[in-house]
Amino acid sequence: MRLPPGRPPATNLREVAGDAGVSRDGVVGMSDVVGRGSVRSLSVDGAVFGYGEGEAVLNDITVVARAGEVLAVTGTSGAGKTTLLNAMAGILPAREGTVAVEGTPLTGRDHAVSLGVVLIPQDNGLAAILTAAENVSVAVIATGGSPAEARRRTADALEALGLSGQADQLVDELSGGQQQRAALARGLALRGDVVLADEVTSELDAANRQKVFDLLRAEAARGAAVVFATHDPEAAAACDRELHLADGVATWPRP
Amino acid sequence: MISLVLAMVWTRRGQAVTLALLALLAVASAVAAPAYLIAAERAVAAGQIATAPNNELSMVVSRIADPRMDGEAGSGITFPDAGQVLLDLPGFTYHHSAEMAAVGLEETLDFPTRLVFRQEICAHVRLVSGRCLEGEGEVLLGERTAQRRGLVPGDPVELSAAEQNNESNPPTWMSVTAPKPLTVVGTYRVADSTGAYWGQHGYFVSGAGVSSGEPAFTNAVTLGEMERVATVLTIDGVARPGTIDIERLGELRADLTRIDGTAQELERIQFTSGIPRLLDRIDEGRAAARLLVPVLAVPLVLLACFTIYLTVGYGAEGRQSELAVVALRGARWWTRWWLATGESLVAVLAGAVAGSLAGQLLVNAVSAALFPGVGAEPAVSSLRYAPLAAVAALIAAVVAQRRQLVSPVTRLLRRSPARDHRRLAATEAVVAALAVATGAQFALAEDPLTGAGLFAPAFIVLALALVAARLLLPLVNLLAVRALHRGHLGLALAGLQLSRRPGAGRLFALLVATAAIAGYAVGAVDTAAQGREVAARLGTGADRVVTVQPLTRHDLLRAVRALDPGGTFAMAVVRLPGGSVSVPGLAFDSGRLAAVAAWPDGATGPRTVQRLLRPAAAEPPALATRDILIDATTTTAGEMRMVVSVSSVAGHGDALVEMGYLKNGRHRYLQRTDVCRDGCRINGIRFSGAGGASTTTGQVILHQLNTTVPAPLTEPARWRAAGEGRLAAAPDGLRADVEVTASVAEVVWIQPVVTPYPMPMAYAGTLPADPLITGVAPAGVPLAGAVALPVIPAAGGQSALVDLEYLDRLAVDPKPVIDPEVWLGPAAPADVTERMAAHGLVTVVGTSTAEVRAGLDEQGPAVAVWFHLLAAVLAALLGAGALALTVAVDRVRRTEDLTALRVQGLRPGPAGRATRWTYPVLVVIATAVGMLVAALTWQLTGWALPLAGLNPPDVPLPAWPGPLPLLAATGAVLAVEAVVALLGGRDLRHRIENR
Repeated sequence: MRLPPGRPPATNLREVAGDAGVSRDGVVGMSDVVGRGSVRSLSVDGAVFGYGEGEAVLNDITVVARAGEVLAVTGTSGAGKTTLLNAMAGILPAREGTVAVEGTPLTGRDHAVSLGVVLIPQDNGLAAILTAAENVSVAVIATGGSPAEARRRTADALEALGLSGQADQLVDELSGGQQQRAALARGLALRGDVVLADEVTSELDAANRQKVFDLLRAEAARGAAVVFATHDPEAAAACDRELHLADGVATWPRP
Repeated sequence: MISLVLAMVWTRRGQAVTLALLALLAVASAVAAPAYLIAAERAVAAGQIATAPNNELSMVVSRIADPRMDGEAGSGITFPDAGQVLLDLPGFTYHHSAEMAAVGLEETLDFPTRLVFRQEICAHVRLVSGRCLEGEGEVLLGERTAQRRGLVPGDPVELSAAEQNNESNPPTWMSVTAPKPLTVVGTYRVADSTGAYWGQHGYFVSGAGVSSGEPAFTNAVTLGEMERVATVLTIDGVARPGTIDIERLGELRADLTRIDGTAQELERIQFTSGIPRLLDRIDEGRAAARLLVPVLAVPLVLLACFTIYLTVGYGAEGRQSELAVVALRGARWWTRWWLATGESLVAVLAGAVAGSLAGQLLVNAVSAALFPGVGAEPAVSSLRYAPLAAVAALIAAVVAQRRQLVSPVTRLLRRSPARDHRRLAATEAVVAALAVATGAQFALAEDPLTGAGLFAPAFIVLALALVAARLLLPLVNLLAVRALHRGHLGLALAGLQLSRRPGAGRLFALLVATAAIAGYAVGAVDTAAQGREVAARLGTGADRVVTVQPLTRHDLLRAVRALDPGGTFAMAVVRLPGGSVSVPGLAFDSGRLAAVAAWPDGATGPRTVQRLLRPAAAEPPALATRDILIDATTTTAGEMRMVVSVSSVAGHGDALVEMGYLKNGRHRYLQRTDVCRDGCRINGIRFSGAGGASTTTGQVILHQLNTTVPAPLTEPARWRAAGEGRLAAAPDGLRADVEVTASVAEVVWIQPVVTPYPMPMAYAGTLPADPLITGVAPAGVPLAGAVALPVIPAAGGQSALVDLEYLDRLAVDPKPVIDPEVWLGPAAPADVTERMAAHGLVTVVGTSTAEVRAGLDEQGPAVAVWFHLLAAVLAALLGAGALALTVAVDRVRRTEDLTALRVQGLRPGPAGRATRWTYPVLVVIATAVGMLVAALTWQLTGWALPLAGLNPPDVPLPAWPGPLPLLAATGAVLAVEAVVALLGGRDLRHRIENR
């Protein structure tokens, strides 16, 4: 962390923004807060998650995603994988327990972003009015990257995913697989400390699946804590650890 | 299936309501135009009737009866029975009258006394002295006539029938019967000489050689007992209030045509009426209204259909995924068609039905506000375009969904439809071609607003809007991309949303067209209003213009200056004679131009004009006493006479003073004239021959005049000769070598040079080659252009303006001028008419800028053009409705997009700016461009709109609206649409932040 020595970690968005400085568009410079190579873990401790007033989807979940390793979250469709990743991303607050990055409880998505938590959502989360490259660039700039840095990182990420030729195509002009890779490119370009990848290989062919997995592995090697939600046992097997979700309860086939 | 469609409607009830409202507006527009036209036609008729002069509200049957020719000598007055039969129209008040020319009352024989019997006379005059007519042999005299003749009630007078003596020159009147002894029983004064009761007889018109302006009234029995010659018998029918009613104009015209036809079949019966003129003017006004209303009704309906097309298309895109699912399930074409279109069609149909009613109600409300008391007369004919508009709306709705109806499933499944550039370009090309074709028809046709030309403004607006969209959206996209490259996310996301959303170009074009139509409409209303103001102001000349009884120029000047010594509110004005040689125009007492006259905008100022028209000049030679003394030496072989023209400076009139025959050698000629008792000026000295027509030549040296200041006789340059005369300096005076006859046309006038010569004139229009004023001075007065004006107030765009006093100094035989005028400015006191009368300025007729303006406001073009304002409001509502529906449709996708970006780290700040400013920025740009489109369309087509009155004066009317009304229109459109945009943005932001 680049927080000044002797100060406690920021606990809310305003504090983080104050520390990190605010760009002209009011975005918090995540890269200023979390530099490349910083080491962070994301922990979920005794948490219960659910939507609205309904019954809890996940109960008593405790898991730590450690820096430098890829954690697989498996389970059947509807088991709660996306719920867990959304909670880890700060989108869904815990009813009970905590979700924290390096001990700092998350207060919301903006806070999570400021702590370097990147989410690659299952539905790709791409803005239809933007091109593939613009989707990546907007995210990089929004998280504190300079425009020049955004252009460079965008180009690198799209090239890594084999999308250089589609950089200037609107999202709706891309195939489902290309859209998924564009979302991945954006996630990688953000260079987060925690990367949450939700079913990011579901629409990819085998070669691209491997490429994506290699890239996630590279993210872990860079020092990021990678959480990879998948229902593909083969992909899960390639991860360092595996958390299995079933009936709202987490188990550890490979702790 | 129907329940499924209704469920769809209910699910997206916001969109359905908006679409229904748009259809309502479309059909309401189509209904409003004819409904307004009906209301406008009624208002035009009501306005013209209300402002019609009396002669247009009456009719006259007349017959000239001459007892000598008819063999009815000595018989009483018998009115034509046929007339009674003819004038059986209800609602008219009939007055009988008989009139005969008589002499015996006036001293002069230049004009006769009008001896008049008029029914119920005493109810319409004020008796100043004496009593009303009761028995035979009684007569009522006018107040001034009695005073002039020294008559009081009880005095006897003798009148006899008279005829014109054409053998005298000028013609005079002579008695042709034995005098009839009459008794003056009273004197009268007319309270309102312009009242309807007096008909079209012009009893009170006075003028030299015309009439005293005061008829002698008597009763029928007196006139009947008199020995008469030609007697005019008339029956005046005066319409009572409400008789000439807008409900029965056609019936009235038919009746009048019938009467006229019958009268023509009858011998010696004449039927005249001004009512047909009124009816014609109403028809002309209605014709103008019929041209003006559709000019904006057509674009309004087209705009409405375009709006429906656009919004239905957006709606269909919004539920494209649903339609894709329907198509994916292999539904049959009619099921797919019904599910695709049913939701829109239900809304459009409901809106169309409501629109039929709303259009009429809207017009009723507008009519009640604009034309109180006239009524909109709801008519089935107002609805004649409603089905067409409804069908057009339905077609627009179906065409808008053609893509969803015919596209393959794969295309339907895409969120952002592939842009069909070719189809778009083809549509734009068709609109552009229509704009060019209708525009050409508009420009080249004799009647631009008929046939295809009527559609020109609509297609030009639409084409320009599409072109603007095509040019601007790529620019917006470029700017947005640049903003992104610079890291301005809020601006970039707003701009990209504007430029890339499906149908962005069409939405932009629609909003541009909306603003353009509103701007064009308000422009038309304002230009028309300005035009009416200018026409009323410059066409009238001053706040009030009063024609007074004939006076000489000199007396008019003196009286008006006495009325207003400070020159702050009154100005004497005389019309120039005009004609084939003389320039038309006006002579003003130019020192008062600035205070009194309406002045054209942008013209050289009145004070400057006054300086140019009245450069310094020598004062006329003046006499201080009654005596005119001339010391002159004459050398001639024949006989010559000398006459001096003088004008009193104290209001005692003018005179040509006969100095007598000139005797050879040096002599002093002395004459005395009362005109000069309080001082006078010398206008000129005339030398003429005497006796037969032989030419007399001679030389006259004027040595001395008894003027107050010695006349500059030794300076021939300060004198001017008119006729066959040459001036030269003599050792001790002015030498004139003259050649004259006894004919008035062959005399020599020597005049002092007391004005610039040629006289400076301000002129409007083309400067004539050798401008002259004839009929004023002994010779034509040459003019020199001193300053050009766009128009001479009350005289028009091809006329001249000279200084009245200088013109008067050139006159040598001052006579009363016809229709002298007194112009009154804004500072005129309330009792100015009484003050004028006190100064001898007797009002004949008057008008005012306000009256003229009110009359113009009642005419067809003025009434019709208000529809444009209604159209502007409807256009703004259409734009706002379309925007509202677009915002509603976009909401789902934009929420998805921006929520996704928020998840990826987009902070609330830039996300807020992107949501808040997208549509307001669109509205601002579109409105600004719309006003430019309106200006361009106005440049191309505005000139042809019949905005001026039916008979506009010859003054340059404004061709462009003022900036303030256009800014107001822009602001109004902007405000309405900006509210929708801001509310939409706020709602979107809440949705994003609450997800």
